[in-house]
Amino acid sequence: MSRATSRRDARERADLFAFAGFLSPWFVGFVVAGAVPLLVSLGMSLTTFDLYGLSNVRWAGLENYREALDSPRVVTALKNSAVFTAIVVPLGMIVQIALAILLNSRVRFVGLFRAVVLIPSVLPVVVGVLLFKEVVASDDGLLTKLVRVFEPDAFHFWLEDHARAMLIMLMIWSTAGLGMVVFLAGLQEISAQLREAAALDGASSWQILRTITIPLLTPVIFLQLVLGVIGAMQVVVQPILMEPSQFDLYVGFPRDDAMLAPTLVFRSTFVNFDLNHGAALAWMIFLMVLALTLVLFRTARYWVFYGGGART
Amino acid sequence: VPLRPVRRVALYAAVVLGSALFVTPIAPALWGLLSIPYGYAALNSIAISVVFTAISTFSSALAGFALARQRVWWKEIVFVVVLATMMVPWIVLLIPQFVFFYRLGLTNTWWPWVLWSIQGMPLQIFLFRQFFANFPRELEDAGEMDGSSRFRIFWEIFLPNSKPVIAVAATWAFIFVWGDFLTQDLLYISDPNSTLVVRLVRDVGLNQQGFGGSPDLAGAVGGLALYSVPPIVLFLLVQRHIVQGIAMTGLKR
Repeated sequence: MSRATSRRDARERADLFAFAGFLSPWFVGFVVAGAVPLLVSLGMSLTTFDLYGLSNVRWAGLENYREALDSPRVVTALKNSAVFTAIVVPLGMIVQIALAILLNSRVRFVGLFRAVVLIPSVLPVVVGVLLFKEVVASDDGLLTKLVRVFEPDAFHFWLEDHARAMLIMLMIWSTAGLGMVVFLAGLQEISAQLREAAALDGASSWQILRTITIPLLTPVIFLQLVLGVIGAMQVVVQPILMEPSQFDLYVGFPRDDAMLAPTLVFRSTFVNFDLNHGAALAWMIFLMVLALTLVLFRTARYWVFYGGGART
Repeated sequence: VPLRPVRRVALYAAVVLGSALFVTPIAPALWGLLSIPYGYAALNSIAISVVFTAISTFSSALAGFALARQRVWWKEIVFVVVLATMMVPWIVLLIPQFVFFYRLGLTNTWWPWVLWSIQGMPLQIFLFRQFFANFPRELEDAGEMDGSSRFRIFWEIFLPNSKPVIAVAATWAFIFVWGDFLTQDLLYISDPNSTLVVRLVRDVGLNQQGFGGSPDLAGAVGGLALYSVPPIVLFLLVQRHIVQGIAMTGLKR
């Protein structure tokens, strides 16, 4: 045994200890507030465990899942979540990319404009929803005024009759800023020279966007797609708060087309105290997110381009 | 010139006593602040946001440092686990957590936010990891030559040079807790003081319009506008670091 190896061993051990030490707060939190609750909620979904202690816990198998899926409300909510995600994520991303391209141009006070676009993203959720309901979607709000330009006598109950569309608009408005920043950062990694060279060769701006900017942005699009799906599948309070004349999480009940699955979990768990069916539905959502994310990662190699500006 | 420990303690005692003397007439007034309307609610809001932000940012910085600078071959696996925690819907964890908090009598306290903060936030850990990864090797080596411990290198070399990313990460955490409504409404289940935002929604009647009550919309808009000031101001203070910060940390996988 040479001195050098033992010194290397000692060093590796020291590195390992330091690594464990630095990560220990995260690890403790991860176990106590993450892994254990995740398993407990799996347990709750498979048994009759509830708020009132361990005395009446019985194994229920997949009973809770079956009962949940038998309820039309649950099926509708799951469908709604799928539709909501499928609309909000791509539409939101188009808005975010458009904003990012716009705010990447050389105009005066561009910092100010970026800040303005970001403000809705930092508003407390209650404030954002209240403003949206009162200013945009009320009977004489911006939407009605806009429609009346074309149809002077129009009268709409936006929140009642177009609940899902309003929810989607709210989510796109309140997440656009953060997404814009991420795309902006992506755009700034694409060298301007590339686009200038293409422009010199006579490419139109649409061609440049389609053949240079978008392909080089695909890593960012992929990142935002994954984060967007995860985020959209976790929306809980907005559907309740968006109910007309309602701001009470325990009373409000979203319209059929705006009831998302996590919202229903909240209702059945914390309003009806049906923790087992709540946990079953919650686990179904988790498995859906997991499956969707894995599928997205699988498809990545067919369309995500890690060649140019954004490094792998 | 370094002072000897005894003299140091004496000096600190003198400084603390001296300043305490001057703050004594003001302290009861500060205490009185709690009894004004919304005093306790404001205290709760500020406390949960600040406590969460402080612990979570520190814990994330530690984890980010380990994931960026430690020579351990399986750190990438840990990083993937950190990112994978984002996939677990909050509501899945909230169900058993609520049962625990309820049974342990921790509803209506700050403890849930302390517990949640310990593991940091995935986004914060990501920001710190990417930022620390860009530091030149020589900085670390210089520290090691002096015989500094890893923690000391982190504390005295990396952290002081990371103010922009600390500001962005901390602001993110603050906005997250301050803007949240669900958990505050849920966990301040039977405290009439509750937190600022929950109190505001209740007191201006936003939550009972359905029962024939009409909300005090002017009050709601006024109160909630004031409530929105802290996150917006914080955001404006750090916003020039945000775009830069994300671009610099890179969108590398």
